[in-house]
Amino acid sequence: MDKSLSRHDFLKAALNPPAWLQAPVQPAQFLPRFTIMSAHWQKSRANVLVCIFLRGGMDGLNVVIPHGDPDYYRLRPTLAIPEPAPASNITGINLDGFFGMHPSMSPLKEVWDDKGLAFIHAVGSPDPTHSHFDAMDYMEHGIIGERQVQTGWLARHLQITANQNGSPFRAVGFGALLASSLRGPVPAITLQSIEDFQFGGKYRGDDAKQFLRAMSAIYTPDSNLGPHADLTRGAVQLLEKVVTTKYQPSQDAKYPESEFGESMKQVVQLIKADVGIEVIAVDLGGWDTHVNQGTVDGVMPKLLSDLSAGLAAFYHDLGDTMKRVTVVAMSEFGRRAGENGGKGTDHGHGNVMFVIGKSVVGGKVYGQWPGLSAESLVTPGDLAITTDFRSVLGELAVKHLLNPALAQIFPNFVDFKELGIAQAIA
Amino acid sequence: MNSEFSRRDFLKLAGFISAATVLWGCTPYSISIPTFVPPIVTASDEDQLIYAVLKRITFGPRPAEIERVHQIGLDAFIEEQLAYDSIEDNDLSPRLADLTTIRMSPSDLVTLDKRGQSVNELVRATVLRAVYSRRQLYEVMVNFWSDHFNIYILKNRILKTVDDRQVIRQLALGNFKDLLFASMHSPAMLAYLDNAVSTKDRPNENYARELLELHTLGVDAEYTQHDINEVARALTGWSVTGILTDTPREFIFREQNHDYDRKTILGMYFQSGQGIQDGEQLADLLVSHPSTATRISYKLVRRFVSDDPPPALVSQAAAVFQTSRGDIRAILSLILHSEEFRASLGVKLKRPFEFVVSLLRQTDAETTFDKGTMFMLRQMGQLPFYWPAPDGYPDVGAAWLNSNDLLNRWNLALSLAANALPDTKIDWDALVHSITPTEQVLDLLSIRLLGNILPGGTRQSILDLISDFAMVDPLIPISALLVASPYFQYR
Repeated sequence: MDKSLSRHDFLKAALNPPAWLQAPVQPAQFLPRFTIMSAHWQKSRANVLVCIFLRGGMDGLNVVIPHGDPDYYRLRPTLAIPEPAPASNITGINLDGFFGMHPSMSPLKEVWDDKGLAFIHAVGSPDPTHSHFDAMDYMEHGIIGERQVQTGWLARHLQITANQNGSPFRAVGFGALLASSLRGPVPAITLQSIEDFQFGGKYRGDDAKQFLRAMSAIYTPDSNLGPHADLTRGAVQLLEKVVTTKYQPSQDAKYPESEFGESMKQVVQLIKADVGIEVIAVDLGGWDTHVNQGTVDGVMPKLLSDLSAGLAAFYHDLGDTMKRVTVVAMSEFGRRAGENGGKGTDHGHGNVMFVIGKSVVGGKVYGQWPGLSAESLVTPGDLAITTDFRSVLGELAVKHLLNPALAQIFPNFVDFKELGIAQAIA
Repeated sequence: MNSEFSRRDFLKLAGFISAATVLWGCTPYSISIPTFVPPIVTASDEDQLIYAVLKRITFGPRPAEIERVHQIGLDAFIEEQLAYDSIEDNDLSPRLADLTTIRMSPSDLVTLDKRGQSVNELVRATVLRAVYSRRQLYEVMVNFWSDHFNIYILKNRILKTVDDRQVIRQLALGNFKDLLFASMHSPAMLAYLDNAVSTKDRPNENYARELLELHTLGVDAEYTQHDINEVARALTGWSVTGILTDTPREFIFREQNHDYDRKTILGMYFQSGQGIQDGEQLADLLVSHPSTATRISYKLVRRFVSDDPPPALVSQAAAVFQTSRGDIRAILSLILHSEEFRASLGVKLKRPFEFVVSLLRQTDAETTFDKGTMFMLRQMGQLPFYWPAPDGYPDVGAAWLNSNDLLNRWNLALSLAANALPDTKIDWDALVHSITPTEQVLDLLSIRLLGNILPGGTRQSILDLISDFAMVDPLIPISALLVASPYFQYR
């Protein structure tokens, strides 16, 4: 065990260079790999799905509130949101006489009235895990119960329809790391902001172009980094050509001044730039409200305010384009029906999902409400699930992403239930 | 679809489709990281090995370390690095002199005008230590445990400074039992995961869950929601003075909040009437549980050997963990002398932190890690203590390999090659001993940064390209290309 590292050991450790490394590498030639003309994007690939992952376990019961369920008020003596009252901004906003929206979501009222917003309640994953990491894993990979999955559900969609869209901007994830739903052997851009996604600093112009060319020469296609380098290069070049001026949102769109607001604005820019974007992943974290969650004010209401303002601005900014753009928001699990001793909630199960768009059958809360009585809750006191999240995502994949291969996008999923949340996009 | 460059063409050019791969087959295609091959050897075999090992056990080989290994041999060097407190570190202290908050007591930190100052200084100190300390293996382990016992610094700005000093840095190369015990008593951890406000009437399970799932047993181990509830009960009362008035300071066991009734955790009986002993008995139970040994060993092997930890080595390390009750040095010694370690050299992708630190170290940079380089590391997504979730920064290459990361690495390479960042200066000229012939400059820098000269084809490509740059000084593009090259991204 404690033997010295000998020459013999080194020879065992030394790796024989493969043939490709010994052969001379051709100097890079700048190849126009990606054409920008929008005529190339087939109409079916013009539809866009924006997936927002609310990380931490959003408390769905205080988002779409079951005012009509008396157990709600019994279970949440301090955290319950008061029933809708006329001309009040500190009560729930009535949705359908049973459910209401949290008051911080007032920016979305217009979208709801416009029938562009649908909620699904008591939705989630059949796995009872309360581990953030497992729950996110299963939801983003779209395969429940397995941990070694290499591809996200969106990546599988991209794989299946790969021949239909050659843009490097086909899939974009906002943030420093790529969302798991997009991970797989498919090119997906990760970026923090469009402005920062450029090369060269003060060396723009010819020297920057030279550098990028040099990257082609030294990032050979065979290596693991080659494809990523290629994609990065292609994306930088494409973005340079299409995003030239400061973006002006349409007048109705009031984006919140937050990272989330900024990301949504950038998504709109990328959609309007017509670069072939199809699938986008955006994160909004901070929902793990174990302590001092806040009722009409506080941590969670602030997040809801940010989320709602961002979504509403997005909807108004895109206007009619929302006929081919759909937003879906989900969280890895909901939270415990009863509040805890820290004026917060622990990890739960059933939750709410949002779907927004002009090809969405909105103005409705979908899903069968299981109730909050002691018998209806599942151990250790969670809202039950009556709709699998994959039914929601699956319907959007089929009707909006126009990918009928559900069995490949969600392997092992047999309980598909069509809710009718989406209209087919003509 | 009649685009000239269809999706398929893109994939072919990008190397996704090769003769050996069927992309649209039934099984999902998976990218596996190929064995990274060092260039054709012209540096001596022994130097190659030394360089490669140093890339793993330090944050980047510098001439001083290479020289030391020549003097005493690799084995003795590893032993010396493990006995870290015998290594003097005088050069480091002046660089940390201005960062006064890192040495402050909790009472002083609580009275700081701007708590953001302690955040800024701790982040900077962490990077400066990683760059300049001679206790490199120790710094690597500090980084490892900071991820393992992750605390998001912005949740409670001042407490992480104390945790870093009294928990992580105190015990990074000590014994896991002591480290876990210290972490369980850490005000930063108790505040971060809400245990500080957990009471008998309404126990908070956040910390209890992560203690089992992340810090010890691991999510695969056999424990239930009931166990988590019982652990939460056992830890009621483990709190922090001043927590409710936002003046948190020290650990305190609040008897009035503790649940004294009997408990059963993982099949073990915890008798009623135990106060703080509940938590102490729990710590013992967790440390001696075989799942903990396996979990910690798995993570150590992943950090030092491979993103896909070889099971045999993990088992051996776990066995050492169990017999030594978590002697971190003994486990490391086993791992670093293993066949698997030697066979894996060069294939781990550097995470952004490792990329930035190795760049600063290997170029002999003078840095205060302030505005410029700090911003870039933040853009890459790995600023110390800025990961919000308790699981810590991911430790596999696949998590970091993306366009945002690559682009920022390229940009940083260019910025530092041109000395364009206000907080960092690199004397590139000194690194090449002021010689000027381009080929020699390229080779010298390659040996310094990569351990050897480039493979023939790449080397020639770069030489051809250099002449096209408008920059007057060829040293800038050469330096930038080497740092941005795939070869510099691996350790």
